[in-house]
Amino acid sequence: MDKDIFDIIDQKEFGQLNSNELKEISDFCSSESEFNAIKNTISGAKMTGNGPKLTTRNSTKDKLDVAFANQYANNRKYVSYYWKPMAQIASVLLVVLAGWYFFNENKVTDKVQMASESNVQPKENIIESNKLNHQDHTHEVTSNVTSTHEKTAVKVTQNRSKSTVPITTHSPEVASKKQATNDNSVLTYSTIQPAIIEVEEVSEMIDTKVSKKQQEQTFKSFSTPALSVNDIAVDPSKKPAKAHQTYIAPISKQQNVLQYLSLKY
Amino acid sequence: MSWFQKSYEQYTDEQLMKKLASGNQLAFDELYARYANVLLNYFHRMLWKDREKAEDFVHDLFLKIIQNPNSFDTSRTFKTWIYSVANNMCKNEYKKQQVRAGSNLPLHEYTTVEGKETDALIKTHFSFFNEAFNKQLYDLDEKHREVFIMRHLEGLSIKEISSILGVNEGTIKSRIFYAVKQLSNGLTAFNLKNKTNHG
Repeated sequence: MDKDIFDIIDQKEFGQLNSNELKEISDFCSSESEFNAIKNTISGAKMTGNGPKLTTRNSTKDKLDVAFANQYANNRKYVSYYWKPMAQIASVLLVVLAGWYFFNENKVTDKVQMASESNVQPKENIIESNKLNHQDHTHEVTSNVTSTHEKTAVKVTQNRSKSTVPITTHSPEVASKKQATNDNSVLTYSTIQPAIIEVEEVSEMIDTKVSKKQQEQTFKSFSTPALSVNDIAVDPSKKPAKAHQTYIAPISKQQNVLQYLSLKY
Repeated sequence: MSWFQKSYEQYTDEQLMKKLASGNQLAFDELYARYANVLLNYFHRMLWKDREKAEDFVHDLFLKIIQNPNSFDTSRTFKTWIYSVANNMCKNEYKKQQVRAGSNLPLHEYTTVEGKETDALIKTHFSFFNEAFNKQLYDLDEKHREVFIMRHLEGLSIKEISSILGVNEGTIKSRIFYAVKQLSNGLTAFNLKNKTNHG
């Protein structure tokens, strides 16, 4: 608060007043005794004003609170829960905990995955390696390929008769190669993708020296059970344009082949 | 909790009034905390030291604010506005009392002022002075009494009083000087300063 003339009178003696202050009070007090009388009155009022203060009763505030609640019962603005500090703190903690849990979960999953990868070689890798091997040794395939294939197919038939689980196999070449390198070739058949049998056209792979007998052993699908070599012979007009083209044969076709082979041998 | 939200103590009176008008209870609580006791003492001085009446007037004043917050004149500061409302309430009460019992208003017993002085003589002297002072104060006419109370007991500046009463500052200053002179004439028997210095 800016000092006014009354503050100056309260704080200074008459002799301490400067010319401006004397000029200002000259209209109200002309002598020193009058100045001192005013000064004493102001000091006394100040002491009275600084005396004990009254405080309002709680009942007054309670009545006003009730009145306020009644007045603003309809349009009172409630603070949304997400603006309340405790809710905000809880939200932050929740986000931190969720983040911590998420990263920890990823670490555990990575460890498990790494452990499993180190122990088991994925199926895709096996198949890819088999295909690569097949491509490398295509030209080395000879007449014993067919006989090996036939033997392997018989084993597959035996496996299927023992178990209701669908069987997946590779092309005869892959199977023969696998058999050549690994004695557990039959086990490999039963563990590869179910309900799909891959039959690869072998006619393209066999060179001109391949005998007619071997050509007869190429497959042809029939709606009725195959009883002779002609039933399973490949139609040259339907021969695929691309060599090594792989297609998925239905189970019925495979059954025809297996039936033929089982009858023959 | 000040991390998230500004404390209500940091708001100005005018900002709190805006919040109160929208139904914010906390704003009302803060305004009440700031002005309830100040106004109680003001009413107590203006209304013949009647504690019950002063309490009722505080209640009525805040009730007016609750019921009609838009009556606040935003061109003025809240402090001067609320004092002007309080002063008008006192004037109305004076008129009521004049109608009922004439101009001779009863003076209720004065509160005993307990100063820091331990000297019983000074305390007794001040008690007498206080009694005489209050008597002289209530003998003043209304317009001189109100400006004196506002300036010397409530601690308001001349500018604020001018705004409250809607009277120019020169007139306020003149009225205060007149009130002081009248009081000093009635208190010539007391030389408070000399007594306290002596003690």
